[in-house]
Amino acid sequence: MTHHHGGGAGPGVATGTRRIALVGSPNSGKTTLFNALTGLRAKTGNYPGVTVARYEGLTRVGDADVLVEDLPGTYSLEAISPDEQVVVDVLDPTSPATATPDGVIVLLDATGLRRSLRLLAQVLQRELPTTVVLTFGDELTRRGGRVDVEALTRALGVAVLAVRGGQDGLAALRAHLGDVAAWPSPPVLPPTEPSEVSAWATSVAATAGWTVPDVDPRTRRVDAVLLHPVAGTVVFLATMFAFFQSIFTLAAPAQDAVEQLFGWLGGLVEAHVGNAVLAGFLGDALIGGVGGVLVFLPQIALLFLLISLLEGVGYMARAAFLMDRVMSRAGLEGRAFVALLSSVACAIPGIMATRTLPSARDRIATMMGAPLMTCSARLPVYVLLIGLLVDDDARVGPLPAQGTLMFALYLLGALSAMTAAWVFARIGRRQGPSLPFYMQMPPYRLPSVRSVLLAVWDSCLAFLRKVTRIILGATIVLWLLLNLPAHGPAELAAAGLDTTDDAAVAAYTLDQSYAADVGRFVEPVFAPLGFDWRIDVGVVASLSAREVFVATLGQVAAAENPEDPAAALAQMTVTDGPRAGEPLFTPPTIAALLVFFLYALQCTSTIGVMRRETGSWKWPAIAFGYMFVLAWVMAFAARSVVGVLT
Amino acid sequence: MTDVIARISRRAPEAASPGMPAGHLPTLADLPVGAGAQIVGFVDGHEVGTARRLHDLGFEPGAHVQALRRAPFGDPVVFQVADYEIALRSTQTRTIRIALT
Repeated sequence: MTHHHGGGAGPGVATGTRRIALVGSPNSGKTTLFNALTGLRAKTGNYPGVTVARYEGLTRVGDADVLVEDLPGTYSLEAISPDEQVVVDVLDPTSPATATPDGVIVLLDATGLRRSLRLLAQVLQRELPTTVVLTFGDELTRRGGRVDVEALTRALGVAVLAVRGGQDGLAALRAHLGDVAAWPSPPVLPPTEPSEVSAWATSVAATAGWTVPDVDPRTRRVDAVLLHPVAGTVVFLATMFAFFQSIFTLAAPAQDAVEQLFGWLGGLVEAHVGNAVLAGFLGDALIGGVGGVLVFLPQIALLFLLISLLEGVGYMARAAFLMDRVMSRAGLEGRAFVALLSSVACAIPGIMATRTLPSARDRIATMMGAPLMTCSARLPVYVLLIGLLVDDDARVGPLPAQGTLMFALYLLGALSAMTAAWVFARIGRRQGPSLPFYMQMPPYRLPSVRSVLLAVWDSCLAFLRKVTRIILGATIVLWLLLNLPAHGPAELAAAGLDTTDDAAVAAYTLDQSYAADVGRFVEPVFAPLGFDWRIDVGVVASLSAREVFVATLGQVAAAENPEDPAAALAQMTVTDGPRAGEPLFTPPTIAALLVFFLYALQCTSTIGVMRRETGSWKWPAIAFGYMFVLAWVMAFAARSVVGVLT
Repeated sequence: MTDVIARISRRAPEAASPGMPAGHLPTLADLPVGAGAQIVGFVDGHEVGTARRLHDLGFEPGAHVQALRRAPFGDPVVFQVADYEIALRSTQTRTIRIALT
């Protein structure tokens, strides 16, 4: 029995392409197998109408492509979460929303064969062409267990292939995928009644000569320390500390190199491009804007490397276990901690990590909090503003004041994220029951190099896409707005300007620019926070991406004093209104700006990912709205408090 | 499927140990770290979906379970069941009836 559902094939896939679905429990090696089969040819999407991500990719079988779909991990086909419902729907030929695959691969974890067989029994009931892939056979042997693949094949009546480490046995599996029509089907279907399923699983395991593996002694020994209430907590805190330290210190040399590269490019432009307008465009908009953001690529790559290593080794489950009680205070569970931790890199992987949460309510609540975690895009803004607010050598007690302030901002972001998640979890509690919490503690394993590198590659690619599509576009538009309309010498002379004074001409152009019109238009909104139209231009521009704020202020300052933009920024004064002539960047204004950036959702990529992950514009709209109001109110509060203190 | 769930939930009251007053039957939440027990059934009055899921995770009547370690502040707890390790919160462990072995 083969099914043809051409319409359900992914974008860009020819109709008639064979579709194979991977079914398995979490930690069954499903994603490793998916990565091994599809590699860089994988795509993410969404199932229609639900907050469930869809992974599919092409794999080459002979001279044809086969579409492989990585279904969400599940322990059972009695669905209790949207993710699991997707698995049920995909395997149901009568479900209209999802196309039924031509064949199903069920992954059985050889180290927990009896439990895995329960899921297989439920899948076999669906009577789709099915093949079993047995994973972790090497680990089973190492732990003193054994299983006879031939006997298991006979006992089940379907083909059983052993795949080790995502690579060994892959060629045989690929060849097998080419001939779904010839897959054997079981002569007798497994039972449906739970206690009979248990008996069936036990009897199949016995027929296959399966012996229970010894408890993994390494995992037990490591867990005795890592999950110890005291030692485990100390190790956890040390791991988090090392995590943040390495993001900032290990990435520094690579960041310097990127900086130098763009400095060198800027020098080339200055030396060789004669046309002042073109040089300004290349130097300020392209190299200044994009370069200022690309500096963060090493940090992002490192962050994802660390996160996928911690995940692959099995430590993330332990961290979630240790943090579960703390997270339950916020109405969430331990796995939400992992999502919030990833948000320190960037809210996008953080929001994507909420997929591991079985409950849609927890997922939304975590998503609503995640953008408040201090992401790497806020870093350049914070560095710039803190530099204006606090002297390099100022100290708070024994600690450098700048670093302490930075730490305080991280802490405030984390607390705010938890509070926001708590509020949204409470609001969501009225809708639907909460799901049972259970979390498998996988044995410690060496992650496959391929999976880790793929994760890093994907995230770097996503970042570069953001830089080239959003940040580059925003910088170019900004540059145009800041430099147009152009003014002829006659007009400049009429305005009483000395046309040979470049700085005066630049200041005049800026003051008359379209950007100034925009800034002055929104000025009443931000005036209570102490922002003038130039800051407003930066804030409006940073709605596309936070880093653009730095690029904008850089362009504004360069226009006022091309020789020393940093000094120009510090010496900027208010140009109009009742405060005209006073310094612009006073401590209350800088504090308001810092707090505004802490809360506001100035990131089109995050909004886009939220839209993709929730399947509607409702949640991104709510997030943007509540964060903007919160940002304004908190910035006003910060300005008032600092105003009283100074 | 509803038939299956009905059968699971029906099994629970029969599994109660004779002679013990209702409300004092030991549940998995009472199991001290390091001790083992046999699962007897599920406590009534909880969602059948939860019972079914715990069943599919290996917490089935007759299965042997051992409490391995507690998280800081006592919750959740890692259990060894059906040849693997899984963490449950007390909200769930209170719904699983056990007989100490």
